[in-house]
Amino acid sequence: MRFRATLPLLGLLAGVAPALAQEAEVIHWWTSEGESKAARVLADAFEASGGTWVDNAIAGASAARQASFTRIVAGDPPEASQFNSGREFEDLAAQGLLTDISAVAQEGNWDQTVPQALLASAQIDGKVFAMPMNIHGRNWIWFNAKLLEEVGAEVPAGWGEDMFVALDKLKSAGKVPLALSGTPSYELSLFESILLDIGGANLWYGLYQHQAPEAFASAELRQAFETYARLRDYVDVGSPGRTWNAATNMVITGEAGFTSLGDWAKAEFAAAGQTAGVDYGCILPDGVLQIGGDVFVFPKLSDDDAIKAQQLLIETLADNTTLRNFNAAKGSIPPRADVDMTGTDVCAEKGSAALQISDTNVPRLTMLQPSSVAGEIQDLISQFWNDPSLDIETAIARYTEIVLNG
Amino acid sequence: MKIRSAQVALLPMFAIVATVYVGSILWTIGISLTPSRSLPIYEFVGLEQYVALFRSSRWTTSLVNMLVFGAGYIGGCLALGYLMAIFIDQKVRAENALRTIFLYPHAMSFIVTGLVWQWIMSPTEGIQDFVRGLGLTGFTFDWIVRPDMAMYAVIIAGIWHGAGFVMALLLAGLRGVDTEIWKAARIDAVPAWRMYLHVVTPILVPVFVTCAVLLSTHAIKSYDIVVAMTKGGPGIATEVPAKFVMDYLFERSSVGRAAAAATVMLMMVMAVAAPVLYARAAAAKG
Amino acid sequence: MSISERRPWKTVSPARIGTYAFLLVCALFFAMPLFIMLMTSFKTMEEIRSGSIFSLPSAPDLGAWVKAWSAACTGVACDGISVGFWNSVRILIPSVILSVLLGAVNGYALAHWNFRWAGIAFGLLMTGAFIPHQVYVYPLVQLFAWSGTFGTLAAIIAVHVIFGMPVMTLIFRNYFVSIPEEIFKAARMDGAGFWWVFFAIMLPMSTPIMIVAVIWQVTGIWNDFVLGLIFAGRENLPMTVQLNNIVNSQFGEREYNVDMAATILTALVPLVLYFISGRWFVRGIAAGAVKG
Repeated sequence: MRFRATLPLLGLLAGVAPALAQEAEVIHWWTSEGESKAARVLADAFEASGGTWVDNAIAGASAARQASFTRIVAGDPPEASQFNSGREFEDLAAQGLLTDISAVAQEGNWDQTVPQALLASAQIDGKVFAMPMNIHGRNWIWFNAKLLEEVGAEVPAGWGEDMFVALDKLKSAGKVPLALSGTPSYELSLFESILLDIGGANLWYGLYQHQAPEAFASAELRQAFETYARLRDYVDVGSPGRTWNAATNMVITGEAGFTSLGDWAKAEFAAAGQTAGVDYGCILPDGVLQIGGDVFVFPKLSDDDAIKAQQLLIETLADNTTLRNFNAAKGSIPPRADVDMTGTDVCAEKGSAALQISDTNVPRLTMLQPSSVAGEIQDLISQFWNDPSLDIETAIARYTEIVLNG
Repeated sequence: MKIRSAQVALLPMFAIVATVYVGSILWTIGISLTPSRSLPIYEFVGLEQYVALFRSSRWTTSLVNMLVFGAGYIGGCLALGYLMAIFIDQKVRAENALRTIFLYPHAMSFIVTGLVWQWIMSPTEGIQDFVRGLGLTGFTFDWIVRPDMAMYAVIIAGIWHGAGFVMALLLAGLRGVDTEIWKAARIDAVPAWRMYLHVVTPILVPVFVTCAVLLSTHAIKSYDIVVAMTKGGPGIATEVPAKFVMDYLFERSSVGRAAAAATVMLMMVMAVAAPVLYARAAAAKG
Repeated sequence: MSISERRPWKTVSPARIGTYAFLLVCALFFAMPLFIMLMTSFKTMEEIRSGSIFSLPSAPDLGAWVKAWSAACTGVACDGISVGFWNSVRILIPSVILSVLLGAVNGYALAHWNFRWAGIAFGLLMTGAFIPHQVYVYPLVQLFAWSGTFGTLAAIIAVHVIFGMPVMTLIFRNYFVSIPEEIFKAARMDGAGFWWVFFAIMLPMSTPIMIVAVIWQVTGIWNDFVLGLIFAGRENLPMTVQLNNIVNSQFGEREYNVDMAATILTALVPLVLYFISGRWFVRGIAAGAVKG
């Protein structure tokens, strides 16, 4: 924000026109201290190539999205806006409000380097409208390594019987077996982690992409609901309403053994000075990574100078080195296989490995289904988790109805 | 001629009511009849959004919750606010400090104070944990994690937030009550509580109406308190209609559904307000 | 007026004790969250992670306050919440003055110069106050974009005046209604017009309610985040945008001590107003005028 005020002023003092031509305003929601470092990588890269990064950070995807939408509708769009990978921006693209970046994608061989699931959600009618910036794995299990050792529990492979053995050991040691952020989105996230462990990519696509009746009638789906319901006994009474930060902190302090969260949990571990593979560990159930991530879209502009600045920004953001440094700072995985990420932590390496083969990664729910359907699934799963009187048959019936009729 | 200047004075209000309020309301009703997702689309689909709306158990739960929250929040704020105003009006010491303490919640962003209330009410971190730590191991205060009680936990935080302003409004009202009334009461030796009940409270009825209307706009509109404390949970136990509208507007990319929900909220308000409006119009005519 | 002439029961000590006991219990209830916020703000993150929310800080640390004000990250910049302070002030002052004055005029006109359409318009205005503000966002955005003022200081001030109007009008209308007609009937008979009665008689009588109205508007406008974010334009973003960026980051690590300090710091302007407003909460301003 500082430079925004001073730069044009300096330009005036020097008797030259302010560097308006290369000024690009970017709406994003990377506002915490860790995220800020990553955002600065992008800003620095843009400044190095001669642009002026005008930062418009707005915490919370919903608020940032609201700002982007209203700015675009009012005809006063920013040069770039952050969105989640998914279908959030498809209406904007359909109404011709976004810049087509297919040429950039072609030049960067995205069809070879970007995971298929991710590229598909950046495209509408074969044209690319969004630039993937990073990949976040969403279905990790994190555990306190010392605590597991202390209670004599083996590290489980996923949500199978070995997990319940470990959970029981933690329970009898007086610890909270599973620290859950009891909010609808993380309750759904836990269910999805189990669903992927049991049914793999096959069931996932069967349910959410092909909407295949046999997927909804499958024993695997039922088993996922059963395992999920079983976990109710391993969560502490304080879980409802807890933030994910607090749930992670319970693992950090050794109050709890496990938590199920996306890889952003690493930010809290890092802030507490803990190291992956030493103090805490990560499990990728069944080795299938559920991916989501952030993209930038570039609203269509009318002013020639602004368009030039936007082009410069697009080029900068598409650069491999920029992406590498950005993802290293953010703790996420680069969205392109041609970005070298050697030397990152063990969990990031596991995640990168899962990205190499298309069978071992799936897109998150909102990349396959409209967010209204995803939202109703979330409401249902959260109800099921919190209301043991809701039996599995009814839950599966309602679940099926939402996905098939939504 | 004097009425003319009153009409001129009300011109800005007329203009804003006509363009912004009526205009937006008509637009919203219109959009509720379209399949609009993240952007408004002008394409007629009839009552589809309303059908989907009332099929959702979350929406019906939200409506019930709004009534529960409204009753508890408005009743609680009025009762506590009036009591605090009366007690503060007894020439107590530190009036300024007390008034500020009762009012400060109003000044704070709910994002963080809601989080603090969630901590306070969390059975593993808050009061329950603290009191049990003192040795009273049977003590339980876990409303916020119980689907059947969580709404009342939200009401407590709501009263904490809103009672101070009711206190300020009523205190201003109390200070406007004619001092002669108190002199007369003293001469006739009428006890204070009877004075408040039978004389002062009737005088303050317009102020109570102001408070009740303000509080009900809050009760119907507010979602930030729920978002900050429970995120609508456990499950959907504390979902409210305003949060439904917000979620569908910007989280679930369904402007049409959000508009339908907002229209239903509007109809409910109209159902209560229309008789009052009609009476007022009739009175003005006569 | 002397104390003894007003409250004869004031000297009865059990009632006095009861009065103070009630106020003390209330004060404790109201102050508890603030206590936790203050304690948390003086702790280090390490202490917060491992300790109880009710515990006192082992070594009070002001670091979080300094950081919240001037060094917490809110995006690429790490300048704390101080960045938007003057923007907030620039939005606040004109918005409050305009909305309170307009509300007073509306309330006065509706209370004592009522005519048919006014009542209906007021009813519609109040009905509109029950709908979440966000529902108005798209139509308003289009209105401001069409008038070419979207993203300016004027737009955000207009938005605050528009959304403040129902409550302001209601507060003043119901206050003026309670003032006996006789007071200005005489003035009207002497030929005093609409505005004369307003400025010479009504406004001077309305200090307590004016304070309440100002408190309401200052609080609402100062704490507004969404409207400022959408309508003010990037150059005029209020400090609540920075506050939100500090306390509401969804996927980043959280520093509760900085969150608490930033929240309290942001609330200071309305808090100071609450405290100093006390001198106007005096008995007899309205009552005295009634008699006079």
